Amino acid sequence: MLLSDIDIAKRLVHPNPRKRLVVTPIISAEEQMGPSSLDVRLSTDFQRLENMNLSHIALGKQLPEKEETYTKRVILAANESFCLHPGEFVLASTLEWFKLPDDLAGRIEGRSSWGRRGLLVHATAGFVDPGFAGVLTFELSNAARLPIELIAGLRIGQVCFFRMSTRSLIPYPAKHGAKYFEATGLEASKAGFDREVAVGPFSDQKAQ
Amino acid sequence: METVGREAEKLLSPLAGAIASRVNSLGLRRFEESNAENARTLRKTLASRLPIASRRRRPNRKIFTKLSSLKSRVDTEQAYRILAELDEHPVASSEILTAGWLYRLSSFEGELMKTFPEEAGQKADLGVYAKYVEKTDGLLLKSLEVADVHAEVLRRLTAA
Repeated sequence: MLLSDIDIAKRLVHPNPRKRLVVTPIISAEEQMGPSSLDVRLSTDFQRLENMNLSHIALGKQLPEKEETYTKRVILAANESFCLHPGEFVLASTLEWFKLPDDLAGRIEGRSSWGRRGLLVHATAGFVDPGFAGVLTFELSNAARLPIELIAGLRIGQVCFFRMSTRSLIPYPAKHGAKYFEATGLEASKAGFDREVAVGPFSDQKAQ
Repeated sequence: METVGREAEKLLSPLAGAIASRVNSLGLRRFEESNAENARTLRKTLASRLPIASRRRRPNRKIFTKLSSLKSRVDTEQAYRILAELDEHPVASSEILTAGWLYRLSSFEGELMKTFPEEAGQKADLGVYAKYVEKTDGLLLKSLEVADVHAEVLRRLTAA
C-alpha cells in the first residue's frame, strides 16, 4: 500500500520506534510533502567517471580498490554550484538520512520539474529496502543540450513509501552482503563484491 | 611533559591578549548552558546511530497526537500549519561537536573493551574499534555538512 501524505507525516513522528520512519532533515514540510511522496534534497558530494585512463569498466572483484583510477570525487561547499554537462553521468546522494522500519519500503524517483529540463534522476537504483539506514545514492545524467547548474539543498527527487504486507523476515541490515548500510555519503558501486562477479572469470582477473 | 607545558606557556603568554582580542572581534556566540543541555540530548540521538544535524521544536509525541486528530476533510491551511511542525532547525556546529565529544567519552571504553577477547589466548580485533570510530566520525561529519547546507537553504529562502 502506497503511503499518503498524512501517513508519511505520522510515521515521521511515530511514538513507537519500531514503526518510526526517519527522514532528516525536513527543512520545509510544506514544500517537501507531496500527496503521496516526500521531496528529497541534493547533498554536496558527487562522483564522476574519468574515462581517459580506462578502456572499459572491468567487472572483477578488484573493482572497488581501483575506483580512484577512473572516478573523481567532488565535494562542494554549501554555497557552491556543480555544473552537469550534456551527456555527463555522475553519482550523487541525498542530503537526508533515512532509516526505514521493517514494514516499510521506499522508492526514489526524479521530479518532473527537473525531468522537463533534461535532468534524469536515477535510472535503475531507486529501491530502498525495509530496515535500510543511511543516505541514498542515486544517478544523475544530463540528457539536455545545455549544462545544468546544481547546488546542494535543491529538491532533486522524491521518495514514496510502501507498507509491506508483512514485516520482512530478513530486513536489510540483517541481510548477508548488505553493502550500503549506514552510508553517510554517496557510495560507489560495490558490484565487485557480488558473488557472481567475484568468482569471475573476467578479463581483469585473467590478466592478473 | 611539564617542560613542554612550560615552553608552551612561555611562547603563548605574550600572544594571549592578541588572541583574545581577535576572537572577541569575530562576534562568536557564547556557548551557554542551554547549548550544553542540547548537546547532552543530541548525544543520545548519536548513540542511536542517527545524525544530529537538526531537531524539531516540539516533541514528536505531541506532533503525532495533532496529526492523528486531523479529519480527512480538513482545511488546507490548517493542514499546512500542522505539517509545518515537522520542520527541523539546524543545530549549531558547536553543539554537534560537543555532543560528539560527550558520546565519545561515554562510549569509547565499552567499545574498546569489545576489541579485546574475554578468553585468554584469543587475538584482539582492533577492526571493531576502528569501525566504531569510523561510523561515529562519519555521522558527525555528515551532521556538520547537513547543518551547514540546511542553514544555507534557510538563508536563501529568507533572502528571497
